Amino acid sequence: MFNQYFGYYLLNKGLVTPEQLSQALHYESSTRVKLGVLAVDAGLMTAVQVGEVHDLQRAKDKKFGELALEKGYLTVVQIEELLAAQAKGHLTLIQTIADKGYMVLGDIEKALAEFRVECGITAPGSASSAPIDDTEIKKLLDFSQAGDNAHVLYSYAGLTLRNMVRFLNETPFMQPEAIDAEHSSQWVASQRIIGDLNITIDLIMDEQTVLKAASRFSGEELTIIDEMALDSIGEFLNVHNGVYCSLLSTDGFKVDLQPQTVRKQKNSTETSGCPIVITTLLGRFDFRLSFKVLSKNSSTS
Amino acid sequence: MARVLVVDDSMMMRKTLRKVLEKAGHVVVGEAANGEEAIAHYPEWVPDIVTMDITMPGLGGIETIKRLVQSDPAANIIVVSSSGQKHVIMDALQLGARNYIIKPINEGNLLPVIDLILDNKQAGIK
Repeated sequence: MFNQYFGYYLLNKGLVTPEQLSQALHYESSTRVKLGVLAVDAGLMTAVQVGEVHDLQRAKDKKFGELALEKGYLTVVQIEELLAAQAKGHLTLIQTIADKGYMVLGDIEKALAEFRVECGITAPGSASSAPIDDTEIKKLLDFSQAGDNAHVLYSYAGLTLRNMVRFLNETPFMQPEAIDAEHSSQWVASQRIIGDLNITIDLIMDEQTVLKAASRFSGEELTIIDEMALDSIGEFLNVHNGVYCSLLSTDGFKVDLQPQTVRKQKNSTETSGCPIVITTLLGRFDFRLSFKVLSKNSSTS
Repeated sequence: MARVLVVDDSMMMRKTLRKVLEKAGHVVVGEAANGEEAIAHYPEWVPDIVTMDITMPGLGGIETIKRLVQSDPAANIIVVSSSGQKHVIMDALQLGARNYIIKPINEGNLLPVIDLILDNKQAGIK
């Protein structure tokens, strides 16, 4: 996610060209992030200090960490933390842009600082976007029967909680067990993710929840179920799933979204799949995820 | 001021884009709900900038970018999509899109991109 958003930021500021960004995105997956870039991102060293250590490396046959330690720029603990971060593979876009000479490290440092301010990210090092922590969700939901797909369900549930806050400005509560709601007069927004993962996502809501959520998402006061209300709820699901696909893309999955649809549910057997049920003051949001094939590392259906 | 063609299958998104653009003094010269409509009307509407959704029924955004750039290499296309997948962004930029915005859109992420493209256009920068 960080690469896509920071790439957009650089493009928007005219700091890289579309061609350069496209090239950088192409090569970043095979790039190893160096300690200097990680130290700048973490706010532990300036680009000037990194440049100084690089100059020393050319004169002496020593590693970056050793020289930064000698100069007093980094402590042993900090170097260990940076090495751990290096293994996670964040910031590959920045490293690629630096390696290809599209920007010098000093300009990247400045852009990173401005990006953090504009995006409201205050802590250095957090620009690389921490993965979703699903520890709390695992306490509430048991997806163990989903087998290889359990991790997908946990990460989708975590993102859904976040996006309820982000897109609807609502405090969400996850229900530990899916209680079958009255399925008459329910609406279903559906969308498929296809590619390395094949998931059908149904979002089931009653009429009042559709109206309240559609009004909140569109910024319009919607009082009747019409094309605008249904379109808004479909677009909410589309934007939410788009963020999920971006996360999957970061994890190396190649997936695409199909256009969403919204329909009136005829009966409760029409929708199946693993439930993720979230309640807010707007109403109940009943997500159902059905998997077809998991193909990245296995062919489990 | 830019003349903008909005391409998105979502009525809500088209309305939101129009609202943000018109409030800033830009003119929405046309709206299209899919790629076929955009390609059909592009020569008639002569937009300075096209905002292009990716996931649409019928002709999707990537193929539409390809065809529009083939017919008008100077087309200024901004991808406005929920899709932030790396391969989608790469494909769009390689085919000639000038920039991309990940939904949801607002004044803060849309207008600076419009201004940048207008500035580049006036300066003769592709």
